[in-house]
Amino acid sequence: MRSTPHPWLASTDLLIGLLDEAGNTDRAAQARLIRSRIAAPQAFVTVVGETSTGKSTLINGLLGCDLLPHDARPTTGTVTQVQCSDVNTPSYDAIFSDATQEALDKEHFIELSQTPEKGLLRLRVRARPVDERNIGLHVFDTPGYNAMLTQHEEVLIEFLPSSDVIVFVVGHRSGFGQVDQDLLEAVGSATAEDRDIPVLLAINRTPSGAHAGDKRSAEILRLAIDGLRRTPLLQLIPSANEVLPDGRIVRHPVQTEALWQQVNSLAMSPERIAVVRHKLERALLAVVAEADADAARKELQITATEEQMAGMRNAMAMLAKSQSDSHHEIELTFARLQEAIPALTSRLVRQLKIKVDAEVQQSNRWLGHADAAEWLCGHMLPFEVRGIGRALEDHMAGEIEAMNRRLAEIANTTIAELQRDAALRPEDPMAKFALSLATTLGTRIAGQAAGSLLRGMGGVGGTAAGAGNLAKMLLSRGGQLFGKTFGRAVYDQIGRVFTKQLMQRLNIAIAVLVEVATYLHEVKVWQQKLIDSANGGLDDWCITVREDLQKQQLPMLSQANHQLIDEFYGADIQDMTGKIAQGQDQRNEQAASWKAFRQKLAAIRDGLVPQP
Amino acid sequence: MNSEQLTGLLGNTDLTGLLQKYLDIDAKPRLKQQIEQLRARRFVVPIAGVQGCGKSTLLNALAFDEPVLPIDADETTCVPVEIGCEGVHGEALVHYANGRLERRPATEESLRELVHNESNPGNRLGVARIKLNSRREIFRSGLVLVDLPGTGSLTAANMATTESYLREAVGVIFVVRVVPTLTASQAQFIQLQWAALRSAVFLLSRWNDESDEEVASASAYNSQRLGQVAERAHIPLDGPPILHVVNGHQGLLASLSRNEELADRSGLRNFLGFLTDFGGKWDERVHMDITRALEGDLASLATEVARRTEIAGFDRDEHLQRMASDEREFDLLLGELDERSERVRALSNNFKQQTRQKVRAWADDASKELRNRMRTKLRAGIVDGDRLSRALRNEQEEAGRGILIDVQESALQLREAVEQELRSDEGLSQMEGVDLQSGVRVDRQESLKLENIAQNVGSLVGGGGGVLGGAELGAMIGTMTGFPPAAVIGGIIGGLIGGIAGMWAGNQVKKVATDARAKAAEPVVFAAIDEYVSSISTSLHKSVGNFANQVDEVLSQWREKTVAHHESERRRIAGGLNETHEEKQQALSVLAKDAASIASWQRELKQVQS
Repeated sequence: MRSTPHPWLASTDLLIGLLDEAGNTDRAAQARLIRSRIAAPQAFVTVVGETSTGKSTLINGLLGCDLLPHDARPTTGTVTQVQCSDVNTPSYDAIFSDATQEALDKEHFIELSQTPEKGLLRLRVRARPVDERNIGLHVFDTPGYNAMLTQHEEVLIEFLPSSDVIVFVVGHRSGFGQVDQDLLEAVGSATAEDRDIPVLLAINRTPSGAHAGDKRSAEILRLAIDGLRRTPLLQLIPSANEVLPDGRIVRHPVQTEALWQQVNSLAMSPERIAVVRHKLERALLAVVAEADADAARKELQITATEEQMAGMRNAMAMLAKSQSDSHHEIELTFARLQEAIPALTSRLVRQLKIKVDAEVQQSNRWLGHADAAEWLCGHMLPFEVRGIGRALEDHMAGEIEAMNRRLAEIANTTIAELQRDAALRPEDPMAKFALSLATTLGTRIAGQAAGSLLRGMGGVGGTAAGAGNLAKMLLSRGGQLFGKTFGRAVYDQIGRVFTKQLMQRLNIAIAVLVEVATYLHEVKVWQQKLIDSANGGLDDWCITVREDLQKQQLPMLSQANHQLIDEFYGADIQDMTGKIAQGQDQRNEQAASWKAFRQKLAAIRDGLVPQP
Repeated sequence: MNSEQLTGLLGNTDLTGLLQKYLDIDAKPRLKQQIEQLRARRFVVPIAGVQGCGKSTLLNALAFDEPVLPIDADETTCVPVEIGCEGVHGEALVHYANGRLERRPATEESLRELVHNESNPGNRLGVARIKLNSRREIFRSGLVLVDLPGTGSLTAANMATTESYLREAVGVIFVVRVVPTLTASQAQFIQLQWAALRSAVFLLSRWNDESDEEVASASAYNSQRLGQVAERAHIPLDGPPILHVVNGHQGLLASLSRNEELADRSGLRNFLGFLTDFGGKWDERVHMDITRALEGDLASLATEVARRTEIAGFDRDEHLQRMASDEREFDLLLGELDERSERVRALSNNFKQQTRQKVRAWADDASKELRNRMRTKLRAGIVDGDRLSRALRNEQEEAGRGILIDVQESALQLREAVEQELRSDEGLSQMEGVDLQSGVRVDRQESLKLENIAQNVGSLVGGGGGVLGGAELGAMIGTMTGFPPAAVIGGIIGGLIGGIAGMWAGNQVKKVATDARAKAAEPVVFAAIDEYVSSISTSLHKSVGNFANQVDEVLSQWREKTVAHHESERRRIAGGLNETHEEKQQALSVLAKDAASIASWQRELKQVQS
């Protein structure tokens, strides 16, 4: 993990100082975050596996001591973040969903990990790894299948796609069952857009003599390839229990060195580090560019005549109007979806009930109720419900696509108007002002500045996205979209994330859909009972899905869109309230100070030479 | 002009003779077809819609006072049924593939035996088409509504008839449901057909239990979605597409009970009015189109005769000069054609490569996905042969959908790109003007339509596997003399797309015969999956490979034809070099006579028009 210090560190420190001095706290904070990532590379590893496969034990192996509880009963009810740090004594925190943190002692930590409190988002452990090279590794221990899908969606939509490495744990003895398949399929679909994220299949507790080619391991690998839909890397972790010839059992420490060494070499490969570094550098340059554009506008405001000021205010008003028009578009779209989606769901379910009825009525009497129930639960309902999901998804995609188009139109019209204004009076400060605004909007679309890239991984202390993902973000957002098209990719991404999430929810919902008891009745009776039971299950499902869509998914999606718009037309560039001194002397002084700021910034910028 | 006069002109053998003589076009079949078109006053509009959209109910409501077409939740139609003003009311005329004709009462009961999959599975009875008569106003203009079998149920017996209907089709009515709103695959289906048949009418089929609000929001949504489809397919629209809302069930009830108010409320009356207008206008349009095509023919003839007259008057030097300048122009033209051909070849090869790559990725992914899904079902205890087969079929259809949509979509894009390449305005107008003599100079819209017919033919011929034979290709080029190859290549792409459409249903699952327990069933099921995936892959690879070859073939043939045409033209002009004075005078007098005939036809046509 230790590498030569990044040549930008000194300049970045100067930048932070300058921004602090100018009272530009937000940008200073962004620069600090980027600095911390530049100074010490980090990598993010997500560990996934069904409960009781020994995930916690493997992570304890990384730390060399039993910091995580590893009872035989299911332990991890929440996500635990293990941060391998250069510290002497381990420390524990709880992070809550309202963004507050609380330091914990070990007992309290264990208690919380077994029975999570309401509002708990994640637990965090900071500790020194056995192998110093693993400092900088963040390992996320995730809960089992059901909890992950119903309560910890962030794992699916955020952690998995932005991981550097994913470790999937299966028990050798228990083998690869339906739950493992479901879980690995979830991993596969969560990373479908980032297929270059390595997945390590860790077969845990292999008996002595086991090897990659043994029957059980080969079978697990075969099923895992199908589940993941690509081939994972393989690691066998020998059982820690040795059975002596006399039948006694000796417990050894778990042998996890090979596993973590492989994780390390994957996560910390020079290519991945280079990609992350490149991305961070671009983000830092974006901070500088925005700070400069901002200062330039301030300078222009100060020196402007009353008439020029009016022109600038006008440009600002234009921006504000686009912003509110965009919000309005989003509101309209989601109001329509809020109305249409629940109704659509209900009606599709009603149609499905008719199908179920016909299916059961026609079901072959010799096959009997058991077969009919199996057919319903095992195929017909999951299959049809998937179809409903697709119909809902299609409907939403149609609306969102249309909305994106309108938002793009609004943004492009604004940019074009700003440019036209600028072209009308090329020598005017007003023109410079309008151009600077247009340029800032351009940077925002292209680079998304530092803001959004510093989120990710649930806001875990900074840029946490994996290298592969970062590279993709760069690719899709890096194009010079300014003046041409609005950053569609951004919206599309929201849509995609949402879709995955919805599909997962639908799947989990079906899994608990129909409970069928054995009815020892004649055909007519069991058929009706089966239909009633299926209808009841479908009703429950419909209510759950409707509620989820109405109260969770749609508001979340709407909010994400509003947020993007606010970021795009950011309040900071619309700030015209900055007090402008009345006296000419004071004005000159203010202007001079902004000029000086920009000169210093330019000097710092010169020191930030991109690495080859 | 009245139709009789126009028909007379179209049938004039002198005209066809001159077209052959001066423009090297055998126009007889086309003119004959146009005469028929004028005489028959028949315009065919198929009705398309997904299963369960209430298509049969709607057709009943549109055409009859009581249910005549069998209504069933199941797949009803495996035979094309046409409704028009021909025939005897209350009687169904049944055409069999072997040529036999049968008259039956036009009742639901009697038709059920023929059109329902249960009583006539896979069209075992060999019915080619059924004609029904309706006395409704809408059909008086010559409108023929056709309930076509879905692609899934095309059998050898009705393939030919379906093809001929589509060849005739001038527009299409899409039936769209209120719930669910348009899905991605439906949208693509519409895009495919709409691009080919630009007169599209959209009907929102409403059920009794759907509220006004639901209908209004579905209508707004679907209209928006259709707008997106049009944009993607580059179909020009004046405004957002209109969906006519009709409650078929209510409409039928209104007819049965002669309840005017209900007929209003069902939306039926409104839609009938719309169709009547549409029909009236269509008749005018056919007339106008044919007149315009004829005008084009005559103008080309006049130009050609004038050109030859000029040349016939040349002395030796002028002759040589003209030959040299023709040669230069031809070289330029050929150069342009070659360049464009090269670009089209590159497009088609690129498409081939990308598709192959996509298919490989899909095959890998789909096998895994299908194994996952089927494993889950086996674990859940679905092991009975019938059910296992059905589950497998469902899952396979779903797994196949993605790649088929994807390849169709990129074929559509390819068509777009090829059209652009071969039809960019400057270069091509020059080509048409100079050498690729178009006997039928019609407006752009018209040429689109003709071309679309070719595409439709392609898509159905392709139904069997998406491949046109060399002879068929030759025939297409042959009958479309003078048209830029865009039309022909468009046709091949149409064939490709149609061929892919055929794969949706073509790859049926074999019954997985097993009563064994899950573990034992697994290998059988997995073998079936492998077979399915490899058959889809092989079909796609083959279609796409053949497609690229055909494009290559067409371009080569096109070049040969162009060169040959130029060659014969050169020889003709060279022949004039050594003509005696008498020969020259004679040739000039023939030309003058022909020019006079042409001028008189042109006058006649003007008269007819006014």
